[in-house]
Amino acid sequence: MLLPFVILEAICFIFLALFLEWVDRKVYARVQHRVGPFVTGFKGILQPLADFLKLMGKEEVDVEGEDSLVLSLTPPLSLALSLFALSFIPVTSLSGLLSLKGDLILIVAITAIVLALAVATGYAQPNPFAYVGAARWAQLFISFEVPFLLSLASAVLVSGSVTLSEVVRWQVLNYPIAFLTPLTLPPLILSILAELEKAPFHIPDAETEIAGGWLVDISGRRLAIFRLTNDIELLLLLALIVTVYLGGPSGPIVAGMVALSRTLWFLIKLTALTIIVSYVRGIVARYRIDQAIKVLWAWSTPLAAVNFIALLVLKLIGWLG
Amino acid sequence: MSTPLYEVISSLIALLILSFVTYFLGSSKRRFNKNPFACGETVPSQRVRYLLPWSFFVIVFSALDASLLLITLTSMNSTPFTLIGLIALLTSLLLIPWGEK
Repeated sequence: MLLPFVILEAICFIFLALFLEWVDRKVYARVQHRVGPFVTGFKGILQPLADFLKLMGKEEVDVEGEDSLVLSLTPPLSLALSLFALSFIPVTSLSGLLSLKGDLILIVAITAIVLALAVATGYAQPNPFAYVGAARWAQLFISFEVPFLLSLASAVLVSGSVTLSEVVRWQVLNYPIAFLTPLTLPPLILSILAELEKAPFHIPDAETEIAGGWLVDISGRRLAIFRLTNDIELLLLLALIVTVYLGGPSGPIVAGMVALSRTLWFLIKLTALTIIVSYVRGIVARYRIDQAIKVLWAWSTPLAAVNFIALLVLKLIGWLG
Repeated sequence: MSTPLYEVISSLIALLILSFVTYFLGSSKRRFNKNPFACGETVPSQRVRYLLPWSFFVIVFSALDASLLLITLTSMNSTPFTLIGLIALLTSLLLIPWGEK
């Protein structure tokens, strides 16, 4: 019976996501010559948890004309779906706690549903800022989904499987796919930055421009859950890169401590990716929505497509096995 | 090895229960505002209307996503469907929406 382990793993993932938020905030602050969180816990490590608990205890503000049912359902639904997708990620062994044939497609579908829930949240509020934010979300979604899927398709082409555990096993037997297709990583990382609303793609919630966008009227426990979901999404998407391109939890193993070694390798790769993402968001300014669409469609998508075609040709002439 | 489907579905249900319990553990205090409020200003309350041109983008996007899924699923064996999907994708790139300015 896997159920207790799934719940336990979900709770561990929540704390890991809060840890990654702390890493993200620390690196982002250091880039801007600030200290970042430092009061709660060692070097401020408990600050994301303190922020979550504080928001959970605050009152909600209801506005006349809002769709309360949608606004009450979307936060917990987004959180549950993100945690469910994470259960398929291999952490302590070469396959996830849950594993299905074609689970990579399932994870992509779940991330799309979570984004659709965010758009629905924006449209459920009677606030012009919220629906401008939601409309931008929808535009951005159309733009980054194509290079995102094409980049993942390249990994599928190389490994010959759409199942995460088989993609990881292929990398263990051969080499991490990132070594073979380094050009796939820039479009994938750009797509993931857009999917996470990180700079330079924090256009749907641009606080200085549209006052928080799709989250403008969200407060209290709803905001707490949405922020936690954003952290879980950061963990999920970076874990997806680690799994599909960086060999997942594989690495040199200490004899007798296989599960611990694999977990440590997974955490090291994940933290390194978080630092890269945080550094990038610290050094770039926000794009306008048309600039973002141009970057994602006119540069990122063709790069991912050319890379995919090159891999396809290599596969057809038998160089990829 | 694939997990049995009943285990996957029961895991999803358990995570839904966990998320809703977390949500309901939060404070249920509510304040009611007649109008939305942002940046110290009261903004007029209005809901967005459905616009027909949106469906155009939804159709284009569905076509793109379908062709990408086709590419992903067929690229394992490098069948001609992969190439067909890729051509469909690159053709649809001509329909670039440039967004608001």
